[in-house]
Amino acid sequence: MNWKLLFNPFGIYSEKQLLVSGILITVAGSLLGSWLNVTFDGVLDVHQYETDFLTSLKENGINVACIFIVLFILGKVINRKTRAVDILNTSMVSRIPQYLSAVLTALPLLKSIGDEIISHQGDLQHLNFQPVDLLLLFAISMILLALTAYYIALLVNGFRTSVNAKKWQHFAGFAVALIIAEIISKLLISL
Amino acid sequence: MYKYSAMKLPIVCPSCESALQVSQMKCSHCETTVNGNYELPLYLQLSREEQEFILNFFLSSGSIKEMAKQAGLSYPTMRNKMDDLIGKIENFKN
Repeated sequence: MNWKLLFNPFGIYSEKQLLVSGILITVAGSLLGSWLNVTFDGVLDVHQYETDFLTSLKENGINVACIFIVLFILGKVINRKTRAVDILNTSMVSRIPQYLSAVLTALPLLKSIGDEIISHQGDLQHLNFQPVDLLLLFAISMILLALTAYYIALLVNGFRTSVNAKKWQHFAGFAVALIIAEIISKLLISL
Repeated sequence: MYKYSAMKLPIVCPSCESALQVSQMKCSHCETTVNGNYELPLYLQLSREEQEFILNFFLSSGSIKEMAKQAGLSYPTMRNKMDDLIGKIENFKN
């Protein structure tokens, strides 16, 4: 298996290939979100919620823009040669795992478990789950966690390639930037 | 891309890893030898891969984009290699 292709496509493909792929991925992700009724209401968020294509596209546009702006500013601080197109490609292409997460998030099992918890609010001792449901919930949670880790790994590798980041301070800055992007995107999407 | 011959010029001491110096040169035609203590030129202090990188940069008319294309890598990856090499050479010079 080509691990470099899987974890750092930004080191292999040209900016034009990544830009076209990034735009297509964003549109396809928004279509998937509207089709499955999954909302991307933050840079790191994927939740079940009724939505339509334009809302989904707007959310993904805000998410991409937020990551792009904070990482580009940080990138310019670290290395003045950082190019906008490389950070933009990182912001768009890295989101593939988020769109894959939408498929799992839309599973009816998660909705029924969510409904069960909501119906027993304040009375959680009487929650009634089947062992198979709990096992499936655990498995889905693990896959979702792995997809989030994959998303962050792609972002880190894209950022590292775009900026030539090497020092621990660069990666600490990246972590802070990602939190800032999450907060800003949540605020903008909720408006 | 340009490829070197199989023989590699050692640039660091295999024992203590310090930079090696030239102590003898020989004419392959008349067997005359010159002894002394000469520093390796800056270019030769670089690793074989780094020398190859610089030569390929020259042969592609100084285009990092062209080098990236030939190597099947992205532009920022190639530019990062170049920046790392510039940093290394600047360290040598200081």
